[in-house]
Amino acid sequence: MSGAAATPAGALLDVRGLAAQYGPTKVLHGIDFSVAEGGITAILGANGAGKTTLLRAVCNMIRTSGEVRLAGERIDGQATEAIVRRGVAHVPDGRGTFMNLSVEENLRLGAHTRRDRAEIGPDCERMYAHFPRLKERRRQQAGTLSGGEQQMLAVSRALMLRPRLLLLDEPSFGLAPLIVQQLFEILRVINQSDRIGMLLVEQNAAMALALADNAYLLETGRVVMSGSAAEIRSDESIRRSYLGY
Amino acid sequence: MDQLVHQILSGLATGGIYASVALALVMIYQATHLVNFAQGEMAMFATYLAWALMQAGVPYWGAFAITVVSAFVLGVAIERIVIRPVENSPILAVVIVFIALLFIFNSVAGWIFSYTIKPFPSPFPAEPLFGNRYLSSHELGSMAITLVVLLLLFVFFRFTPLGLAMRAAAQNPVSSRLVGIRVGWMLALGWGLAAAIGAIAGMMVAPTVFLEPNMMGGILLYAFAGALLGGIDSPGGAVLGGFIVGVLENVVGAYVGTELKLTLALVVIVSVLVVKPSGLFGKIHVVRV
Repeated sequence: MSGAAATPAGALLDVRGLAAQYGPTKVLHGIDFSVAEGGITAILGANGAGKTTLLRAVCNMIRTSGEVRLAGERIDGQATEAIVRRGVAHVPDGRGTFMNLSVEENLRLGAHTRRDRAEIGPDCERMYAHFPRLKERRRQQAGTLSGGEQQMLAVSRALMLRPRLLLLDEPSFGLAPLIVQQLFEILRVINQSDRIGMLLVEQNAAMALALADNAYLLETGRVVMSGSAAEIRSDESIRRSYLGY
Repeated sequence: MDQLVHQILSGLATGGIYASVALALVMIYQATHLVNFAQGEMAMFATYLAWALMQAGVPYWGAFAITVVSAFVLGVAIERIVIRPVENSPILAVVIVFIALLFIFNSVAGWIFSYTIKPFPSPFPAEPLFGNRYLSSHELGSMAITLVVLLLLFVFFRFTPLGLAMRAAAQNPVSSRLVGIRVGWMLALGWGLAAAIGAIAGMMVAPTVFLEPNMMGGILLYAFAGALLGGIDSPGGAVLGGFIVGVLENVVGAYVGTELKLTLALVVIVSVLVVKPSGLFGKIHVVRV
């Protein structure tokens, strides 16, 4: 299991030599990874390993170098909003809630780039079916939601794009354990029914490895281990440092 | 009593003008967190354009429509060409750009059209409408136009996807990009709309104050007072504030003395900033330390 995981020929997202920096500080040092069509890839790592930066680099929110391909086409160097229009949705660090807008308006913004206006209403209802709490609060200002509710809203808003690829930055952050279980179950269902590829960044390694097909371990901006989720789970050092048993 | 009713009603008419300009200020404020000091001069310049068109023989409503569209295009162009490059500069740099725009528009208007005061026509008949004793038909007509503009804007921002995207882009640019909104264009569109609203306000006020390069100076001050009174980050509050300032100005002018009209605007500005900086409907900003 040394070296990079084999890249499937038809990878949905393929990243080669991705480097990124904040001002003079390099945060990522040439990272290779991929997400298979309809697959789920997890990025694990401790605080400060560069996980959030990696997601920001994929959709060009920060200065990056390296190659990023979505379904074979280069997207590095494109504007963030152009990458979103190609079907990459992002559940960002800090949830990215539009605080002064209503829950429903937040959802509708997720579908901003879609042209099938008639489908947007039914899609909102689908999100409400996944997260009934959001339906109860649909007219409420999103800033008044609890942290967990805002996390559900962030996931729903991203799904409203009907993305091909979903980038998830710590979706379990701030959620009660039971809600985390539900959220991951919903992600699994959506992944299977809609064939949405997912790139999942998580500190909760056990949950992430249970959901993902394969995983990469990030340490101070470098990939130090990669393989299938089962391989990573059974690795002695991972088990001790990240799974805690 | 009759006198008071008259003063209040005609205060509402000018208040509508202040409300429109206040709304334009709030729209720019929400996106940039700065007050566009050039808002009034942009409106004045647009009004001169309408005047020039009418001099060239274009009928009133034709000139009106061309002016509104041109002001919109000019607003978009100013954002893209002048404001965009200083977007991430320190506040003071942007304020200087706003003030520079104010003087540029003022002196260019004076250079092209001269500083002599010109009459500007009203599209409404000279005799009062519906035989009312209180309001001239221009006051009534300009109030109606202002209300229609405000209503259209409300519907646009509240119920259309583009209006929603513009609100989102002003509030949270980072998240807006992540849902695919072209934030830069939304801000430019906001400038265009603000300039178009200003142009309408300019054309509605010009028959009363007469056309000259400094005609919007006082109006911008009243509008700013109205925006602050209602809450500089609340569009609805700014509109209400504009109407309140209009009525106050008229009543104070009639019963205390016209000399104090402009002073009143400054008193409102200072009082709001001292007593309740967030205004009547503005958000109170709490910073966690």
